[in-house]
Amino acid sequence: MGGFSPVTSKMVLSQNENDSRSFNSRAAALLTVPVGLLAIFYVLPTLNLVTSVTSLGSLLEHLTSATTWNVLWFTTWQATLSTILTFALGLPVTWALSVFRFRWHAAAQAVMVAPFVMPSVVVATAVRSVIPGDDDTGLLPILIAHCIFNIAVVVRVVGSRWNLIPRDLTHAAMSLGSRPLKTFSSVTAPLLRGSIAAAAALVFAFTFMSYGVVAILGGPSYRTVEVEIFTQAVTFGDVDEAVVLSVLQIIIVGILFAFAKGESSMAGRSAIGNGSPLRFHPHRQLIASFVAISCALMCAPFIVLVRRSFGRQGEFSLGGWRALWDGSLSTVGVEVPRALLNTAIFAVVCVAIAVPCAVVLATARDRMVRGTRHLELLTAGPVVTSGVILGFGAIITFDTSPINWRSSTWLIPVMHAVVALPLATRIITQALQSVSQGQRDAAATLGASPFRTWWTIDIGCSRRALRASAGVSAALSIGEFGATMFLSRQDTQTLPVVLAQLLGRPGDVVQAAGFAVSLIMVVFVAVVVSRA
Amino acid sequence: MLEVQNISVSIDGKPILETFSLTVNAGEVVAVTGPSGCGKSTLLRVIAGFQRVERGVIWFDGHDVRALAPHRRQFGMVFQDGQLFPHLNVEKNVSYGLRAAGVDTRTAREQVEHMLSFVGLGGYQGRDVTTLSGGEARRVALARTLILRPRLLLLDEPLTGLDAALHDQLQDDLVTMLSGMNIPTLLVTHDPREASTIAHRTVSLSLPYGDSHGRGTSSR
Repeated sequence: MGGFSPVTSKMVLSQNENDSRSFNSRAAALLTVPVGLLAIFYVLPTLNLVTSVTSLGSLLEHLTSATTWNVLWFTTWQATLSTILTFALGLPVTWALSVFRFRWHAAAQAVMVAPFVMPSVVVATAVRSVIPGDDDTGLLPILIAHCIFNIAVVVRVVGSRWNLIPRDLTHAAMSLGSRPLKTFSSVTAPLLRGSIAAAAALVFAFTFMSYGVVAILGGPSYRTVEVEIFTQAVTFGDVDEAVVLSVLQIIIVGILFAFAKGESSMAGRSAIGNGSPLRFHPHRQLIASFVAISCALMCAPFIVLVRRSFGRQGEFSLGGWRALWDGSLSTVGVEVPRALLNTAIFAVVCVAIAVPCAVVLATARDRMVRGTRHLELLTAGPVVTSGVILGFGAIITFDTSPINWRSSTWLIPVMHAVVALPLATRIITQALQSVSQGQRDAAATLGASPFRTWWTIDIGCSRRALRASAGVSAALSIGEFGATMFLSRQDTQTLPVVLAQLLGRPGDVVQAAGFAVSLIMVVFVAVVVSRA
Repeated sequence: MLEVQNISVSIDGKPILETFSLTVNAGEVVAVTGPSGCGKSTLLRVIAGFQRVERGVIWFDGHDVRALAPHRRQFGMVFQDGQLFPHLNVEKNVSYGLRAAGVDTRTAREQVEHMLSFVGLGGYQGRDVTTLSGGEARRVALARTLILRPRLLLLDEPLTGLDAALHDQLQDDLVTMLSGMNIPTLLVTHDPREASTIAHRTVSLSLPYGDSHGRGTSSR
């Protein structure tokens, strides 16, 4: 017999409560998986790292040593210069892309943002391919690479705010007699202040934590905190110095990220509308040309990279590409086919771990009444902790029985998942928070249980976010360099590790092979991100 | 005073106004009415200098103003939704144009006080503009523009979105203020009743292009 059986309102309420309780208890049980993952593979290594200094005397000695302060000083001022340069070049482009709409607007925006999803070692290699001769390492290449990599942050963070400023607000100022520059300083700039501060803090933090770029372009003379942590821990075996630098970096980057979060949430609170694109401007053609030239400059290193993979200027050779597959690079300890396979497998495993964990964490953050702050702090942890610190923490933590995992292959994709989890969670959380409560209520009135409502409405409406979170996780895994440098062995090398090894060796064919590996990574990341 | 002569305007290739002409004489209030999308607001934006004229000329006091930047035209414009600067308080919003013109802080403060009293918002100087009601925000927007004594006043749907009582009250106040200031004014509204109450003359625009033959009425 079909149809509804008669139920009283009291019975319905009681059933609803039971269903909700059952869903919540299942969700809480599932939450132990991502929380456990972060506790074991993030909190434990980081805490162990912080407490592994041999003595207080040693800590003070390293804290006051000239090496520590020299490295910290260089890291700070190169990050400051990088941030200034990124803003000097990024703000005009951001203005043009936010205020105007061109026919090729989406393509221009994609070009500006694309380097940010590329592995940092690839951006560094592209910059290196442009600079001729012996000048391909040093401060200038580092600054250029940081700038190309981080312009995306300015375009995204400041641009999204700029899009919210109604054009009529600036028109109102102009109709009151204000000149364009005065209008910018008195109306636009104050409304952008929070987003500019947030973007500056993020760019500074990213360039402060820079490892891949400085490792490839710094040469022997330029060492940031990240590079020094690796050098002290691996080359000199000075764990105490590496720990002191790691702790200092975590503190500084933590403060920067907290500042950026505060500024961006304040900017978000004073959202003011929606700025429609400006259709008329006396210098529109000039502005379009400026954006086109900026895009060309952003693409140039990657185009030169293609050329350099076929040998030096003036000669054309397939030697670099051939060397990737014919085994000749084994003399320099590199096996590209194996590295390619490892990279692909690690990316798949990383996605398989990170995305389900992110879904559980995002659901908990969306639904929980208490404890969301703790959960937020836990998931934000890996953001302020660089890959180098995570890798360093892992090898000094997982080195005794029963957790002697430091040589285990599976540890690499698990650490990649830890790195990817905050961003994957953020993407899904935003999607879940945009699902309207009305839709959930409608599903419930149509007889859907809490689990079915979550699955069909929350997850159903978040499919794009799930794909994006999978794509971002895979891209982060493919380009992960800091932790992998610590954890990989000869047979578990990934493409970024191979790339760094090749570029560190002399010889035209080896260098061309390095540029070719870099291009493979570009294609790899582009395919993954475009599919997502 | 203002003479719009056979102007044509397109946006993204779509014609909005076609050979449209209009005249506003000294001290005259002219209303432009018509359905949504007929180009009323575009007309104001063209006169203010925010939108390019493809053909035709805009004369003001015998001068072609087309090449003049918006901030040099001295045409005051009250935008739909007021467009108050959210990061500035009432006083700073109202004194914005005075400060841009180089008026010193003390004089600006005195003028703001006088103008706020004129629009019925005496004592509102320190108020955060995001806490104002719809009617108060419109008055601040009006005060911000009137304080500069513009050569021409452009009002873009200044009473839209207000509830009936507030609408009627502000409409009456607007008539009083405009009579007192004697500034040539172009009012855009979709409400014919509002147009006939505030303006000396009404010009109707119709879809798809602006009707170049304004039909004059004299309700006031």
